[in-house]
Amino acid sequence: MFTTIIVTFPMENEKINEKISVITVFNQETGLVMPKKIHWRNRDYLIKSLAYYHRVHQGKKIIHVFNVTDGNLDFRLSLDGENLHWTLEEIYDRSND
Amino acid sequence: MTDLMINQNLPHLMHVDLNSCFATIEQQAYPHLRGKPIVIAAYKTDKGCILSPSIEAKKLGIKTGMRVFEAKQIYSNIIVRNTDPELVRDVNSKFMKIFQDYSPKVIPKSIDEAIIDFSPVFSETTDLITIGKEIKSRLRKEIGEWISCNVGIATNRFLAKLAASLHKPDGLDFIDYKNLKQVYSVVKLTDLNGINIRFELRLNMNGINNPIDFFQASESLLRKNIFQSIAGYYWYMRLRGWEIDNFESTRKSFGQEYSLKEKTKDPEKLKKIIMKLCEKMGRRLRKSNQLSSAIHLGILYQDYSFWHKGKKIDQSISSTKELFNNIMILFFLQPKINTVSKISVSCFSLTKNNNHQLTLIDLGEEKINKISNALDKINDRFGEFTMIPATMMNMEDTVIDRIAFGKSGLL
Repeated sequence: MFTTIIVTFPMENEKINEKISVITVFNQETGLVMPKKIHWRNRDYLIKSLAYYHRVHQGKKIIHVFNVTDGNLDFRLSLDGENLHWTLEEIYDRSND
Repeated sequence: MTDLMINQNLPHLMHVDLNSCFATIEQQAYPHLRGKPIVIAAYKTDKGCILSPSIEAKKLGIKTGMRVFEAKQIYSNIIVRNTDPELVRDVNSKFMKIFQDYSPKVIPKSIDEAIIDFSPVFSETTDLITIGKEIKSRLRKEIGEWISCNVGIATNRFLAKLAASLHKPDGLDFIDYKNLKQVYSVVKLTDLNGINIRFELRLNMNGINNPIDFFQASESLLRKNIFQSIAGYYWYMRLRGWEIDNFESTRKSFGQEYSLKEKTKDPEKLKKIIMKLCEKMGRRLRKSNQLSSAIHLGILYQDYSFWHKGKKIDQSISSTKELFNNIMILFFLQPKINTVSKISVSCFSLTKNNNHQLTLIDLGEEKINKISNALDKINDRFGEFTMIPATMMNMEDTVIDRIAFGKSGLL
């Protein structure tokens, strides 16, 4: 199961840009893909909600951007539409506010 | 002209305005920002200009156009963020799609405002108030729960925009011939779209001190004495709910400007910035399939003095290289070398590219155009600034992507 480890992040959004492992769920009724759990730096984070999803075009390549939260931390995740690699782009600790 | 009655037709125009657009979108994407005073600024530094304060920041008195340090004087813990252009464009395209579900005639007014003209689908049973409520609810459901908007319904664009400004944030108002005078009795002259302080003074000098006076002024007083032009007649009609603003303007120019983070007088550094501005301007010009035969350069110096120069070109051009070469000719005409704080370039006298006149003497123009088109295709495929002119090397973070205010036809 998950263990709670308190990690502090700066007030500003921190740029991470690291490859991460992600478990996703695809809902065939709504047609939505939702990241459910991410694994980053030896820790698991359970995603509670999707705040916003959008696509960014880098030339003809499509990057799927997911802004999600686990309740304490907000994450900006991106899925490269070409190689299907996930990247943690940014992180923000809400408990610092 | 005899007194014209107020337009008594059923309102068929809806003005929708996203509340604190840039800030609200940021709060939607980053839940930790919700409910907090935040501002979206051009730069996070103290002198950065605030483009959009959140609803919470507005309540504290922080306004668009203030500097970041002024906002910090009001609220020291203010959160300052930059715009995310891709995110804002995505929200814009999503709300435009929602509007198009209700009418084929949707007119974008800016990145956060649009008018839905229901005339192609309008009948006496069309209930715009219910539709307005539905649109507000769909924005929350389909874009995000933090997204709110103001909706204004009226018989013309002017009154629809006024209605959308009556109860901010998250309001829905309806103006027709029955409540028009009541609305005019509770707003100020400067609340009317198009009336700024200068116009207010001109109206005051003619005995018009509030919107009711303005509404009751005769057409002849407005046309002959106050505006001394056809504009007076337009105001007379507009104030009575008749549509006179439904013309679609065509684009007359393309321009780019950049406020330098590090002010400089070094021509090499300025040359690189001008090249990047010309590349961005050229890309937009070529995308519209047009050519330009006139260019303009404007420079604001650190001492707030301003110099500008324009020129006609004897050929119609569109390649970045040609635009850059012509702008640089103007650049070297500057009467003094001074530290630059802002540069703007523009091209105008636009013509469609289909009848491009070839020159008798081969100046390599066709070659330049072919190279330009090939570079555009590469950048379309692999991303903006994948292939760049050598002059633009090492300036990835300069002249970054921004959302333009005003018409969002070419974002």
